[in-house]
Amino acid sequence: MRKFDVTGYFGTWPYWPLRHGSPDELLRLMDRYQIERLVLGSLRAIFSDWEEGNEEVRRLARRYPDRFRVAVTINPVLGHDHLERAEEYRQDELVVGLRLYPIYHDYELASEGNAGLPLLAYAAETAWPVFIPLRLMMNWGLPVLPLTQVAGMLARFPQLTVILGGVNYGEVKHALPLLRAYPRVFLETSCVQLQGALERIAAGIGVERLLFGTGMPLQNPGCEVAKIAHAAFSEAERAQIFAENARRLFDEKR
Amino acid sequence: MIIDAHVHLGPMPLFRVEGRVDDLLRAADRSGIEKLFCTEAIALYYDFREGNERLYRIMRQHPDRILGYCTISSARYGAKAVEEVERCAQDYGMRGLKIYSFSIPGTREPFLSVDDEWMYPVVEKAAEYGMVILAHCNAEEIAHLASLFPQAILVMAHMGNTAHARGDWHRAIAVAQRYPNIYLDTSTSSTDFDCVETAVAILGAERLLFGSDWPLFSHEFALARIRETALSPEEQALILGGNLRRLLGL
Repeated sequence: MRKFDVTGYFGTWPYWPLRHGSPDELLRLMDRYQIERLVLGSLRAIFSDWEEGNEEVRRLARRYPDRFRVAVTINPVLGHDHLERAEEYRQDELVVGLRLYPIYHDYELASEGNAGLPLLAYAAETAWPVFIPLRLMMNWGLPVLPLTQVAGMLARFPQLTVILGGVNYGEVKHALPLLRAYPRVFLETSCVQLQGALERIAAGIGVERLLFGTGMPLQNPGCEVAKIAHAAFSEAERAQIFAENARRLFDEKR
Repeated sequence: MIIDAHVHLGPMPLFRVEGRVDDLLRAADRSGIEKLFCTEAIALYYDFREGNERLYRIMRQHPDRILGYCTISSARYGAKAVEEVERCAQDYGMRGLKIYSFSIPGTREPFLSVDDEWMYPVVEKAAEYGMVILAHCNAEEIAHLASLFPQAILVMAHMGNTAHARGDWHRAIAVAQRYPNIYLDTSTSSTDFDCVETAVAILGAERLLFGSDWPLFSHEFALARIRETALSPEEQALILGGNLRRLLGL
């Protein structure tokens, strides 16, 4: 079954070496698991220079326009001309959305006067999807963005299209009311590992709001595929999660 | 033969799930898992004597499928805890001991630690019986136990992929490299790429045991951590059951 993976990373992982992070390795993994499209975010943009990181990933996507899409990262605390850059990125047909990392860039999504407000307002006005990963990957050593920040952001910008990622089983019960309240919020699957959790979420909000993500090359895509392949979904529902929902959201032709 | 070294039966209200044996056997059959090394949740979270007895009844109903861990939730029961290990080994035929470091809620600070002094006689008794000791703990705790009890077969549950162990599987591998009586169990919610391969490259496949943590995670998800790797079929076979067969003499 062909897949559209909405969470991948490119760059250096500062905590341990990655063996599958090169473009060739990413493409090999994508072929192995029948992933036709992968939305990449930049690790450099998270940990260092966001503009340079975005450029690296955009260059890679231009080399393989049939395989990669980009979710650009903007750090609203460092640098200049954030809205101008956002507009430039949004015009790029390979860029499908904006990724925000408040923990790593030292701001809060929900607080009055937070540095991300103009960007969020821009994304809301232009219907530009915003990826909010609560955690980078399902490793217990890494920090977790409190869902209360996401709730505060949505209260201010209820029309935002949000791809909520990095949700683990502890957060599912708190994420569900948000997902019910805001129909433009989608849930990305790469950290939802508890048996039966995806089925429960689908029963609560509809399968059409689940988006397949692997978190490769930080996470093993084989495990992320297996949990959905063996979950209690019909084949039609599985196809929606694996690819159709993302294609529709990002307005992709089949 | 595939053996799952980390399975829970009984109610786990913290996770909103209950492991029922009929569901477990059906799930295991779907995945080709022959034997299931189980702990009982009542023993883990409430009353070890009651929970271990309940597990023994299940073991008797399914003697070819269910292996049992004696669970000691707190060694602060002193002699009663040591007697319970003896009873489980002698009377119930349990081949393992499960011990657990509980963190203070909202923190990663141990409240009950497997490395508490009063746990030592419990571990010593289990080692006397050749039990496989499955310890939910961090690398520092298992390293100290391994140094104190070199004769014990110690399995670090989740190989560091827990909140209590800070997700630090690199440190888990490092302490297992230092102490040859430490084994690593692969069950976890984490899917960090190369975690299992790195452990095999450093320790050898002989030191890893396949676990699922069922019912928290599906067998298919847990098996993918072994099968969706570059490990050879021989290495996978050791992890999936060969090692535990050797340790238990099955």
